[in-house]
Amino acid sequence: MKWRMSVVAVVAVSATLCFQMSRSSVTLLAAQSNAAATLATGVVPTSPDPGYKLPRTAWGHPDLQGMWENSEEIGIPIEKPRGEVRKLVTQDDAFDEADKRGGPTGAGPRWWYETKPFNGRTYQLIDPPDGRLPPLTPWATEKQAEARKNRGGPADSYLSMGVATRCLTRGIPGSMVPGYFMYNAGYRFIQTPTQVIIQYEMIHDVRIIPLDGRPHPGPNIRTWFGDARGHWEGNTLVVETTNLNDSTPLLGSGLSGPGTNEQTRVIERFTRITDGLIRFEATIDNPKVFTKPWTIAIPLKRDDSYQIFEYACHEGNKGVVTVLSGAREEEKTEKAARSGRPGSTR
Amino acid sequence: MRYSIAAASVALLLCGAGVSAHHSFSAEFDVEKPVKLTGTVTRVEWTNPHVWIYIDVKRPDGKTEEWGIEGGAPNALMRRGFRKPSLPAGTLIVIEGFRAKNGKLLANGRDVTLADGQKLFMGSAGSGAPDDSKHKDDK
Repeated sequence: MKWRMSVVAVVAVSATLCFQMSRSSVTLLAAQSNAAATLATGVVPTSPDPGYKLPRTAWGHPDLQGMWENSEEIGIPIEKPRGEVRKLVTQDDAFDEADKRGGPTGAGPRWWYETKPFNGRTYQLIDPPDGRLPPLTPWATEKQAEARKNRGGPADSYLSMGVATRCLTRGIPGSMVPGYFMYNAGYRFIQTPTQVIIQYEMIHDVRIIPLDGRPHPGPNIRTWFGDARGHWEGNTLVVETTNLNDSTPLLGSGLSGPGTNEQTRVIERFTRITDGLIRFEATIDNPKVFTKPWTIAIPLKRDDSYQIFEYACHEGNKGVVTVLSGAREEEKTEKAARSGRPGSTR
Repeated sequence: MRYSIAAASVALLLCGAGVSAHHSFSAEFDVEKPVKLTGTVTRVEWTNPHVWIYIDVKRPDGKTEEWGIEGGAPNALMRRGFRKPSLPAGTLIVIEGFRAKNGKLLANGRDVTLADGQKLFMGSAGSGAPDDSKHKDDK
C-alpha cells in the first residue's frame, strides 16, 4: 500500500495500543505477531504467517467461530480521500477527516462512538488500486442527476431517511462495514458442516449461509439481505449474495455509494490470518451502477470478551420523529422570518 | 446512505453525503443551543437505538419541567459500565448537552455528572472512547 507509516509512527501507535489494551488483549497482540504489525501500516494481511496452525472444526473446516469486531474501522472511508492523505494516528483524526469531507460522521455526536485503539488505516478499497470507486454507468449517472434534481429536503418524510436510519438494515456487505456507524460493530460466527451463521449486533441481523451448493431462488425473490451461498476455497470462506432488493444500501449509511438491484452480486471472502484476525474482503459486482466491480478489505479482530446485546432498534426510535419535527419547526421559523412576524419562541 | 425511496432507490442511494440521518446530530439537535440542566431523574428508558433519561428541572420561577435527554446506544453504554440502575429515580444529576431543534424539552446529553462528581457517557478526552484512559476514571 502507498501510505505506509514511518517506523516512528508505527512504534508510537504500537505503544499506544499496548498502553490502552487490557491484559487479555495484550496477550492476543503478542500472538498476532507480524500480521498485526502489518495492519498498523494500513494493509490487511492476505495470508497467515508461515507456520500458523489454522484451527479447524471437528469436521475439518477452518474454524472462524466466536466473536469478532471491527470498531477500529469506524470512521475510515471506503475511498481514498482526494488530495494528500494525512497520517491518521488516532480515531479522532479519522473523524476530523470525515468532518472535513463534509461528513457525515452521522450516526450521532462523537461522544456516542465506540472506538478502539486505532489502526491508522485511511481507506478500505483495494481494487481499483488507485483507491477510488470505478466510474458510474451512463444509466446510474442519469439516475443520480435525476434524483438530485427531484429530491426534497432531507427531512421531508421518514422515507427521506436511509434504511439503517429507519432501523431496517445496513445491507450486504454494509452490515460488516462500520463506516460511519459508530457503535455495535460486533459479529458472532457459528459453523455447522452445512452452514455458516453470522450474527450482527447492529440492528440484530442474522445471516444463515448454506454451504451445500443449493441454487439461488428465482429472480422474483428479492430481499433486504439477499440470498447467500457459501463454499470453501482452500482456507477461505467465499460467500456469494444475490437476489437483493432495490432498496438496500450496499455499505450502510454514510457513503455516496451504490444501491442494490437485480444485477447486484456481492462476493465476500473470510480468511483467518491469525488467532486474532480475519481478513474480510467484499467485492461488489453491480454492473447496472458501476462500470467495473470493486473490492474492499477490512480486518476483523477477535474479541472473546465482546458481548452481543439485543439491538431492537424500533424499540425507541425517537430520532426520526425528532428530526422531522425539528425540520418543521425550522420551516415555521423561516416562514415567520420571511413574513416579518416573530418566529418560534424556542 | 441517506435516501431509499423505492421509485428511484438506486439513484438516490448514490447521493449520500451531506444529507441528514436520524441520528445525525445536526439534524436533530442545535449546536447553537447548548444547555446545562440540573435536575432529578424521574425515569430512564433503557431502549434501543438510544437511551433516554428524563429529569425534573426546577425553573427560576419555582415551576418544575421535565426534560428528556438522549444518550448513546444502550449496548455501547453497557460496555462502558453504565447500566440502567446507574441512575435510579431521584438521583440528582447535572447534564450538559444541546437542545433539540423541535423546541421541545429535549436535549442530547454529552456530559452527565452525578452529585459525587462521577461522570457518565463522557465525551472527548483523547478519543472520547470507552477505552480512553480518562474515560475509565469517569465511569
